[in-house]
Amino acid sequence: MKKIKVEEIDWISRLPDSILNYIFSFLPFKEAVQTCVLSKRWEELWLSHPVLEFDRSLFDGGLRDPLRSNNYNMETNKEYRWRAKELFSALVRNLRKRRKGKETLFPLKKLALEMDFFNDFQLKSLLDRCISYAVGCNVKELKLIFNCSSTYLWYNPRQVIFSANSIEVLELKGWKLELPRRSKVMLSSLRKLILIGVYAGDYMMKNLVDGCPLIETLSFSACSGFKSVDVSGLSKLNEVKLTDNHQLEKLVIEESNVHILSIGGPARPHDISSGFCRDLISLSLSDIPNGWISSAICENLTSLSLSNVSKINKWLYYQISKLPFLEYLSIDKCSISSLEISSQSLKTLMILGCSALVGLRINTPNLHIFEYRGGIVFFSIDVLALSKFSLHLCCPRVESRWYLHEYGFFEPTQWYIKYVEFLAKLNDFSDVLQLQFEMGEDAIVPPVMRKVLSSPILTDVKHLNLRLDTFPMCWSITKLADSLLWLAPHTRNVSIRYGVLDESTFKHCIEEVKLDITDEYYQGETNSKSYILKGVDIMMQIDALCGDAVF
Amino acid sequence: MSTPSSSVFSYRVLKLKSSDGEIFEVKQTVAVQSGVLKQMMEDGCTEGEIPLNNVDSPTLAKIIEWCNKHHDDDVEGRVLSQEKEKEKEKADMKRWESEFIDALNRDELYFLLIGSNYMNIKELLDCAAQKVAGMVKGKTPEAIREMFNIQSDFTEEEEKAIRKENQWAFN
Repeated sequence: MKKIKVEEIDWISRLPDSILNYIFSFLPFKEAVQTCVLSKRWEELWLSHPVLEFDRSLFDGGLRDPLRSNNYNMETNKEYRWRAKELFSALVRNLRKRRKGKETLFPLKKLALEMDFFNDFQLKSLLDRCISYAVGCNVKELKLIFNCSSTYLWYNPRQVIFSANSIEVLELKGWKLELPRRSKVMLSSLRKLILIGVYAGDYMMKNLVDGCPLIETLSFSACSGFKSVDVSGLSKLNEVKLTDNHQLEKLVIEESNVHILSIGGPARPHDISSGFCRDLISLSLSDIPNGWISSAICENLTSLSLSNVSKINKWLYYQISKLPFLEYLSIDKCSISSLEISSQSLKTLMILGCSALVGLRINTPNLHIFEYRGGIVFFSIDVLALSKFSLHLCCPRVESRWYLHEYGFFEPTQWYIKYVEFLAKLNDFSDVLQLQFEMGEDAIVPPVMRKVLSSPILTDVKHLNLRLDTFPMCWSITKLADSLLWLAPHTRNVSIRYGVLDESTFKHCIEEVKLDITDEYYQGETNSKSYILKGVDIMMQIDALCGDAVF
Repeated sequence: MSTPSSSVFSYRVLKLKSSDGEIFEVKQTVAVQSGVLKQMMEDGCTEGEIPLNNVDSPTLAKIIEWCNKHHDDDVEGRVLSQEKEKEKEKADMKRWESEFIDALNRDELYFLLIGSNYMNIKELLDCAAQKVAGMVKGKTPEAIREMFNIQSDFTEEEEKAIRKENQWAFN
C-alpha cells in the first residue's frame, strides 16, 4: 500500500469543489487552509471554502499562557496585535477575491471570528472591510465574538450589517450598536439573533426587533442600554431568552407564538396575558423579584425551571397541580422551607441547593429521574420506579465541623443516623443510585456506628456510584469501598469517581479489581495506566497503588 | 392525500440504471436513503428505469450494499429493545461502516464519493469524506502531494508568495 506508483493519477484534485469543501469540513480549519499551497486548483478551493472560522486559538497562536486564567487579556501583547492584523488581512484578501465586480463567484455560508478585540484604527478598518465583503458574499451566518476588557473598546459596526438581506443567523458579543437617525434596520432573512454583552439604546433595540420580521429566536444576555423589549407581533418568534440585562425593565410579549421563554435578572414581563401563557411549553425563571408570576398560569408547560426565586411554596403547589403535561421540573437555590409536589406527568425532578428546605413530599408515580442536592430533610416519596436517583448530600464541612462540634451544634452520630434513615427510604425506588459528597470522609459511616445501626440498608440497589468533589484528606479507598458495600451489600458494582482516580470498579465479591488511573497533572498527553489486581491482599494493593499515584 | 398504504409501499421496487447500462432493483424502503430518489418518489416519477448517469455499476452495487445494511427492517421491534442493545447495534454498525470504507481502493473511493454526492446519500458521503479527511489530517503539504500524487503547478516564486500570504496557517 505504501508504494505510490508514478503513473497513478491525482484523483483527489479531480473531485468537484463541493465534495472537497465537504471533506474540508472534517478537517481543522488551519489544516484545510494549508492545502492552498498544493496547486493552483487547491488555491482556488480555499477561495470557495464556504465556512471561515477564525477562533480564539488561531488568534492566540500559543501566545496565551495556559496557567493564567481564561480572562487573561491579550490586548497589550505586541505579538498578538501583529498576528491579529495578519489574520484579518488574510481574511480580507480571501473575501475580496470571492467577488468579481458586482458578481459573487464564491458565496460565503458562515463567517465566525472570536478574539480579544483591541482599540486600534487599522484593526477596525480591516474588520469593517471584512464585514462589507462578507455581506457582499451573501453570508448567511455571521458570528463576531469580541472579548473586551473595558466598555470603551466596544465596536460600532458598519451600517451595512443592518441591511444584509442574506443573514439568517447573527451572533454578536462585545459590540456597541448604534443607528444613525432616519436609517432603519432591515434584516429580512434573520431567524436567530444572539447578543451577548452588547450595548444598544432603546431606539436601536426597537429598530432591531422591528427590522427582523422572520425572527424565530431572540437571545439577549448581559446587554445594556435598553430599558424595554417589545416582541409583540413577531409571528414566527418561538424562543425568547433574556438574562442579566441590567437596565431592562419591561418586556412586552403580546400576540406572539412564543413557546420557550427564559428570563433571568431584573427583567420581568410587563404584561402577561393568559393568552400568551397558554402557548408556552418551556419556562425558565431565575432571580425574579417575587410577585409577578403569581397571576400567570401556563397550562401547556412541559418544562419548568426556577432558579433563585423566592416565596413560591404556595404558588408552586397550586401551579403544578394545574399543569397536566409537565415533564421536567427544576428548582434551584430557591428559598423554600417545605415543598410538596404532586404530578402524574412529571418524569424528571431536580431539587438543588434549596438550603432552607426542611420537608419534602413527592407524589409523582411516573417519575424516572430524581436529583437532589442539599441537606438531609424530612422526606416522603411516592414513586413507582426510578431509572436513576442522584443524591448530593451536603454535610457540614470538615473545617466548620470542629467549630460546630465544639459548640455542640453538630453531632456526627446524629448526622449519620439521619443519613442512614434517609437512604433507607430510597431503597425501593431505583436500581441505580448516585451519591455525591464533597468529602470522601462524609460517605464513610464509622464502623462503631455500623454496629448500632440496622444493616443492610440499600438491599435492592444494583449499581452504586459515588462522586467526590474534593480530594479526600485521609486517603483510603478501601474504607470508602468498605462503607459503600456495607450500605448496599447486594450491589453488582460500585464506582468511585473524582479528580485523579478516574474510576474504579469494585465487584461485590471482589475477586478482581480494575483500576484506571489518569494523571491530569501532565498536560497534553494523557497519562493513563490500567491495573488489574487479584489476590487476598487486594485492598492493600489498591492502597499502595493509589498512594503512589496521589502523592 | 393519495399516499399508498405502507405495506404496498414497502414492496414496490425501483429500477436503477447505471451509467454503463446495468439495471439494479431496489426496494423503495431502501431507496429512500437517497435524497434524490426520495424526491422522485414523492413526485411520483419513478415509473420505468431511472437513469443514474454519474454512477457506474460497480459503484452502484457498493452503494446499494450500504443502503441495504442501513435500512431498518423492523422499526417497531427496535423501539422496544434495551438501551444497551441499541448501543451495541450502533457499535456493530460503526465497525461495519469502517470495514466497508477501508476495503475500498482509491478508485472505488473516488467513485463512491461522486456517486453518493450525486444520489444525495448523506451518511455514506459523510463516511467517505471522513475517510479522505483522515488521510489528509496531520500531514504537511509535501506529504499530501506525495500521497495523492498531486503535481504542483506553481513556480517557486508563486509558492513562496502564497506561503507568505497564508503564513498564519503554517505556524
